[in-house]
Amino acid sequence: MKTNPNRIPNHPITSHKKINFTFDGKKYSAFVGDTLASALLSNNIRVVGRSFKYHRPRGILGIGVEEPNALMRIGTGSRVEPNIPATQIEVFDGLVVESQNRWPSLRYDFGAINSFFSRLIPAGFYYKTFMWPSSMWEKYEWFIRRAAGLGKAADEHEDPDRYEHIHFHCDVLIAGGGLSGLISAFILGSAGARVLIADEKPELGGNLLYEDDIKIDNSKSTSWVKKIETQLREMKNITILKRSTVFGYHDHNYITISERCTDHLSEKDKNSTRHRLWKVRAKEVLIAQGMHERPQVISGNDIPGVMLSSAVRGYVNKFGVIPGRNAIITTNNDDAYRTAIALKNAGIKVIAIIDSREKLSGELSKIIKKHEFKIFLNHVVSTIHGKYSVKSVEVAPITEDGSDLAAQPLKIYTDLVVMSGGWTPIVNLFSQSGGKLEWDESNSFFKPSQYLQSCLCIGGSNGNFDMQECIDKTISQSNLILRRIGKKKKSKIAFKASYLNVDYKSRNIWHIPNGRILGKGGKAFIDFQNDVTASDIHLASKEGYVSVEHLKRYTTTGMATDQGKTSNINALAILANILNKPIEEVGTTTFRMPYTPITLGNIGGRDIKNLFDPVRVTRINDWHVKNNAKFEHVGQWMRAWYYPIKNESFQNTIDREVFNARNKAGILDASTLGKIDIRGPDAGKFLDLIYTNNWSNLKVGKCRYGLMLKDDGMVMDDGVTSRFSDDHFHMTTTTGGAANVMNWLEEWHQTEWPKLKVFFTSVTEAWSVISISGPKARDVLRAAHCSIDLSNEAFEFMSFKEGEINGIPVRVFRISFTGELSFEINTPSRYGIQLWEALIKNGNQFGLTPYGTEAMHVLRAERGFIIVGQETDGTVSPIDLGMDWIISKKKKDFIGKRSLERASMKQNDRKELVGLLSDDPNTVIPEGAHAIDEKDLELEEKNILGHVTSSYFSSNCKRSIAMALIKNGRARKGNKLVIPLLNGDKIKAKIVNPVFFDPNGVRKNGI
Amino acid sequence: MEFSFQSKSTDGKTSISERPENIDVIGNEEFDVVIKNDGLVNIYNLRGNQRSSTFRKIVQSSLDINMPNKTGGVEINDGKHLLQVGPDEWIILSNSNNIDKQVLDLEKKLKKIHYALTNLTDQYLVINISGEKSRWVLSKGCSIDLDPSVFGPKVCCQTTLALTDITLCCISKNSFILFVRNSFANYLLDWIEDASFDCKYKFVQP
Repeated sequence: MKTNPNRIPNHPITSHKKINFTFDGKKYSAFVGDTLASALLSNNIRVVGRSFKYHRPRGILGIGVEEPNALMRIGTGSRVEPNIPATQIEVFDGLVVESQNRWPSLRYDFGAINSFFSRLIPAGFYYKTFMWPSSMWEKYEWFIRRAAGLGKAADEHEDPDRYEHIHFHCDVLIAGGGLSGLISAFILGSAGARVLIADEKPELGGNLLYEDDIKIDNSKSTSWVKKIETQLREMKNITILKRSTVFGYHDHNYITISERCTDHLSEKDKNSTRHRLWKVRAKEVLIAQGMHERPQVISGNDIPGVMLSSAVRGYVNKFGVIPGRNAIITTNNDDAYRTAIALKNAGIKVIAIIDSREKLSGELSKIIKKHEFKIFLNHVVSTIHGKYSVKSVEVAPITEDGSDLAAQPLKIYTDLVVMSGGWTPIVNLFSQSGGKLEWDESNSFFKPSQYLQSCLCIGGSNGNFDMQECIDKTISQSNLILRRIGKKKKSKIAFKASYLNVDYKSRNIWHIPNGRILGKGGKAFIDFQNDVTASDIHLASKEGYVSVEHLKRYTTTGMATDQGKTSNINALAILANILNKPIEEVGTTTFRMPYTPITLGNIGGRDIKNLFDPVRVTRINDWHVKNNAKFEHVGQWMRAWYYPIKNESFQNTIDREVFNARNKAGILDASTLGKIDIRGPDAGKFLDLIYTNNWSNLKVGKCRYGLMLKDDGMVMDDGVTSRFSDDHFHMTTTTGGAANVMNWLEEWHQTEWPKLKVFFTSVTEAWSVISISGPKARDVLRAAHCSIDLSNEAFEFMSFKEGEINGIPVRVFRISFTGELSFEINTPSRYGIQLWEALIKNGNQFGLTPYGTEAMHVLRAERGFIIVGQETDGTVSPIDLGMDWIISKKKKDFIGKRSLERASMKQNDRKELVGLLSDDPNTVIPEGAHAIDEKDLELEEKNILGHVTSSYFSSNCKRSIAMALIKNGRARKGNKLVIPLLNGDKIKAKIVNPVFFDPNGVRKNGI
Repeated sequence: MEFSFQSKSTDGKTSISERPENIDVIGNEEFDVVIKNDGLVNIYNLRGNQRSSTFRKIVQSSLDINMPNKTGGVEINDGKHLLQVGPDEWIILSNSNNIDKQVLDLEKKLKKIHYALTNLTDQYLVINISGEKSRWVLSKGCSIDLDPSVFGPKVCCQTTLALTDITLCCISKNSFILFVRNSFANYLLDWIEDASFDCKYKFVQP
């Protein structure tokens, strides 16, 4: 096993427990608290991955979410996850990690051949290269798909982990637990506000964790963080989330956070929720995400060993890692001098500091003298040399305008290049909130300007550099938030920081010249993750991609997992330079959710497997299951579809059920039908407006069929409604339409007719509904001890009665959806199964047959009854269905009336409901099939007349039957249609009346 | 013509009985979450004009309970809960013996004013969820603010839990009544059991 050769002796981390991990099959050691990045660096591993396009060896650049290079494939088996930055992976004992985008090994990668052909694959090469010949596209695609992407997903598809969601409300959500976030949390929490503070790292403190030269209230910054965290934990109104990234800022201060609960635990401890998605509704949001350091765009800036200055300081101070032995520092601002001091304190040689500015000023210029660094002012590192590691740099003075080198460069040998190209506030969440940015010329960054939602950016995210200024502004902004959430008392809390007061203002030479013509002398990368160079920006601009949005898509800069965290400003600035425009005129691209990648499991949460969607069942369901019913989904309901006896086939079962329901008796569980209780003195008047026919004249004790239209005159729902008393109706709806109809009634009542005195209550599940249908239906009920006189005289069609069956209270409706003598029996749903069993027991002697939804469909189609949603699709009017008879001519108004009066409703090219009989009686036409006129068969452009809506084999008709919507269908009765099938076959059918059985409807009274 | 029937539940059909308590629980240790079928609960939906003093007086005197004064309010008396779930809508939950009589009396007295009273006892499964972590479990699927300072005792709302519509009522510190349409009951109990996986939980029959 490899030990830690690059660790500072006696650094506090070395007292932590030693643990082991595997990288590319080799075992290494680390300490508890290490990230994979710090562990790899401490083990002297410099090359950690290969770049996306050119397969160049890449090392670690950053220390946090900004890391573009060190993407890893972690885990084993089905727990494998690709594209995770090494800077965000906490090492645990037994961690297994692989590098990505290389074959056969990281050192010897076949894909590196791309580097030799780099001139042939510039920005946008695939748009140009794969345009011709178009017939080759499928071949190209195979190669492109293999080459695209970085990491490989798990081979096993079953994710063993658990993902959850949780809802949370608070007064203030603080995104970021650094200096500003902690101060705000403390002030707001002390004032009694409900606060949620979330930070992506395993520890609070943000960049304070990486610093060694800051004191707050006379405590070392890391001690201060611990102290304030302890105080926050004592406040019950504060919720602290660590390892939690605020990744989405949605409308109305709805925020999403991904909490990584077990990623840092060893395999044996991963027995809890892996990721938790927090859905937070916050009154106010404080964005305290800090800043990202920018790289310098130098030729060779991607060679392993070139690192961001703040990252180097963090690895040294927090992790005790020696990232190199002989460092060159290249900077355009004061902050990198702090890194130089940290390196020197850690015993690492700082060969020289190369500073593009002309002079040093302020506190730094005094302090830096005692360190005796070799400083090259007005100089730049113009080129970095090396392949698998930095070997040397070229250093040269720079011209006044920064466009060229002022003298021949000097070569310096080094193994670590520490670079700082300035700082950029993290404004991703702010932008997601809809806020507008403005360009700050003096600091060279975009910062928040106009807020659209109730939020404030604080600290680095607000563009504040100076620590005390940061603290003071955060305190005043926290007091503002306190006022906004209704806390009147201003906080008197204050903090005093002592620190090296450095100047963060930078001299920005966005693309550092290397003394050669553009594109020569080594690639200068802007976007490390997408292999986008400064030359690519020049090329794109030359080819006309001058809009920043077009540039992004053409070059892919700012895309992929890091979303341009280190590249955006450099790319914009270089484009602005090329276009000779101010940066603010070039603008930024859109920052989208998520801020950092999240897992799909996190999004899905527990809506998986049996919890994916509710399955609704009736109270009689247990009987159906016990009696071998096969089920079908009807909306969320699981309805009995058919009841095969032993190995009976589907068609034989349906034939038997349909035949028995017509010739003996059938029993159907119709409990899923929607039911709405309608009460009030204006109930009849209201129904007159809702349905097309008249309701206020319906007599008490009677039932009526109604058709409901949308305001466009198209059929929306149908059902039978009964009048229980003068001011009490019972409406039934289709199964799938129940909730919509209920909302429809409420909406019209509340918005259009609020003065009508009527109330609606959904009672769908208060009642079990059992339909007994067939010539023996009456016998079955009588045998089951029905207390109601069931004779035609005493119990007329379209009326209802109340009584008992087998001692069970029932309300029986004499209505029929089969055309047979039928009784729909309603009973309080607790009695549903008892009643069903009683009817089955007493009905056996009459051949009572349970039938499911399929037989129900056939039975109603035999009689030509429509099903809303099958014969209709939102574009079908009652006239199209041949149901003009249900449209009242006398009523002044009803929903859809005006639309029905439009001339277009009566045009003869509208599709009308007709019946179809195939020439071959045994051929069942597929539902949905299109129909054309027989005489159009030879035409190249077929004129489609319509489509088949329902089609079955009817054992009662002893042939196939179908219903269809056909243009001007009723006038075409007797014509022949052709239904071409996908397999080339053609079915010929004749247009007929859509009533196939009992055309005079006499069977409803029994035979 | 009105239809009436004995309103007590007889079949007690829920799937709670099939759900064992969390097997990790040892001895008499306290449970984080207790999910109980509230059994014989009569449920009525009452609609009327909340600004009508006559309506309010009749309801209060017939049911022997104060009316809540705003949507989301709850009054409790003698085994009865009166939940105001909308500006003109209340739910009566009761396991008291004389509720049928009280409801008949209420209907008789309300005859002359516009109202609707509907028996929904058969429509819903009533579940009681209690325990230290009941709010935590509910928060996994319910988007309303369940903090005790906002959703404390005698507060109710119509909302969703996971993918179902529910009515939720806090009756004491960490104890809730929740009712859901029967057809969703299995899904919801499955969901609650799943959401309780990080708690010590048990299901209890009435």
